[in-house]
Amino acid sequence: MWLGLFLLGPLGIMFVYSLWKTDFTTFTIIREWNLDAYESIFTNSLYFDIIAKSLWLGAVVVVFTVILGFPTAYLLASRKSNRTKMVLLLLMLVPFWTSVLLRSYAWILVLEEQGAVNSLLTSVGVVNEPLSWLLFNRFAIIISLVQLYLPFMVIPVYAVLEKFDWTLLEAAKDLRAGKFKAFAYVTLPAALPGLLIGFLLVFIPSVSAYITPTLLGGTEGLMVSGLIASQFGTAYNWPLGAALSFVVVFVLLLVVFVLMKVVRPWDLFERGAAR
Amino acid sequence: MAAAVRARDGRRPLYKRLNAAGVLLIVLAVLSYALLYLPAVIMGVMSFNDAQLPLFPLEGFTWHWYGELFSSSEVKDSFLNSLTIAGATMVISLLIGTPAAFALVRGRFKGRNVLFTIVLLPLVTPTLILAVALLLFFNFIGAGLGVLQVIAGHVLITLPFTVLIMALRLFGFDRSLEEAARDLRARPLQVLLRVTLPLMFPGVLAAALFAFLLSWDEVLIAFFNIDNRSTLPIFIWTSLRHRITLELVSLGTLLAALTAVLVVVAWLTMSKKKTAPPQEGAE
Repeated sequence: MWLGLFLLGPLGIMFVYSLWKTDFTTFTIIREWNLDAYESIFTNSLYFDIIAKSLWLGAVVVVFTVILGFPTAYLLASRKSNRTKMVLLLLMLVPFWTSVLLRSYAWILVLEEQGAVNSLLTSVGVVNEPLSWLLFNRFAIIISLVQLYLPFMVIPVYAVLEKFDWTLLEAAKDLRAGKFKAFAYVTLPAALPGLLIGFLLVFIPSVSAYITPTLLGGTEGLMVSGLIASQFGTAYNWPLGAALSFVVVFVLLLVVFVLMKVVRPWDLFERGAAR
Repeated sequence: MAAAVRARDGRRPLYKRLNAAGVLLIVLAVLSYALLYLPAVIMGVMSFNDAQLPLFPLEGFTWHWYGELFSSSEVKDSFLNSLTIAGATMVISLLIGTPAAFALVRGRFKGRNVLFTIVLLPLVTPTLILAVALLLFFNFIGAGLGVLQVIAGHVLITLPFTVLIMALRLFGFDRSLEEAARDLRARPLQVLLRVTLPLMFPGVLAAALFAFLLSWDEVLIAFFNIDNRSTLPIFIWTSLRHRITLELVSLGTLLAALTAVLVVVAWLTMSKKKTAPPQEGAE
């Protein structure tokens, strides 16, 4: 009986994944095999720049999500009252499940020249004219991506800290460790797996973000995904789009692979059985 | 020993050690939540604006833009398409994902870790790249564009979640219940249907909800692979490329509110089910 189930499952997965084994062949529209597309990526500085810019923005977003997210997760995990925890968690989950599209374009209303922020600032008198640098530039991209992926950082860190043995801090205090030392040597290492997973969950989507930068980035909004998308649209260079995609996936997989060596999700999975 | 208030597991209430670090912690956390909700709140407020353009300052209160939504045939069509696609995705994803979860958790076969990695693969792949990859694939096999293609793509991205949620649920499963059923001479199929699956029900619900919501909100795979029809996210996306209108603002608020309600309801149901003691057989 179980054998039947075991067969169904993998087969099912295999089937759907054959869909994913997409043909990223470097064929020209005339279907000759060549590596032109890849060459152009590495030689043309424009493409290279955009990839680098995307990676950089991704890193910046991660930094901010950690700055905001870690304290939040810490606060969440250190609550005594279960009810507070549940409420706060719920409040974190609702944006998590809300559509990327909605959460992105709502920012337009906030940051535009006649948006909420400017309206507030001018009516209070802090500035005389509305600030035009809030929207359609990197600032907007960063702040919206941070908002978008903050739950992705908070939730893993919270999940890990939730299992944290707080009495260890007690022990550290008994051993005369100062607050900072206690934090650095006890809390931080414990939170590390969560931080790493959070890093992945924030970095990867941020680097490859498409909807948000396109809506909010203006002329500075071209990131690597936008470049890829245009190859399948107006630029009509499918091979280049495919090649770019592969490069991006490769770089990201590299990052994932390196980090997987440090954190092993499936070990965590099995360790859970001992609990 | 210290006399400060402490929970059994050593947690301390924050107010007992409120210092610079504590304050900073709270400030940052509050800021985080504020940042998360700011755009949505603003959007909600704006959706009632009695004006022509979504600009501040607000000019008055009206339900007009919500009304516009209900009379728009474009919105209705997109809504129905989204519903169909999301529903189909949910069902298929569960059908494939559940056996897969069983295989992963209970199977003892050689490629298990590999399978696990493959299952998680769509998670680390950027959605846009998946979208264009699917486009290339369907083009290659001659399938072209269409709703079925979109459903296939959506199943692809929801599968990791379905499998994970079901596997997690299966993981914490008390097998002695199944053994008990077998001792009572139930056939394997009966054990499955009357013991295992009913007890997995919360997991099934969670996975179903997740799959549905994920497909419902998905715009990129849909956009690149659909024929000339449209889903709600596609409609919003293409309209936004022109300019943002109050209609869109109302639609956005509505959808966001819907999601929020769903999440809260699911959450409450889930919490209740967790605390309820396991019953014999079905709920």
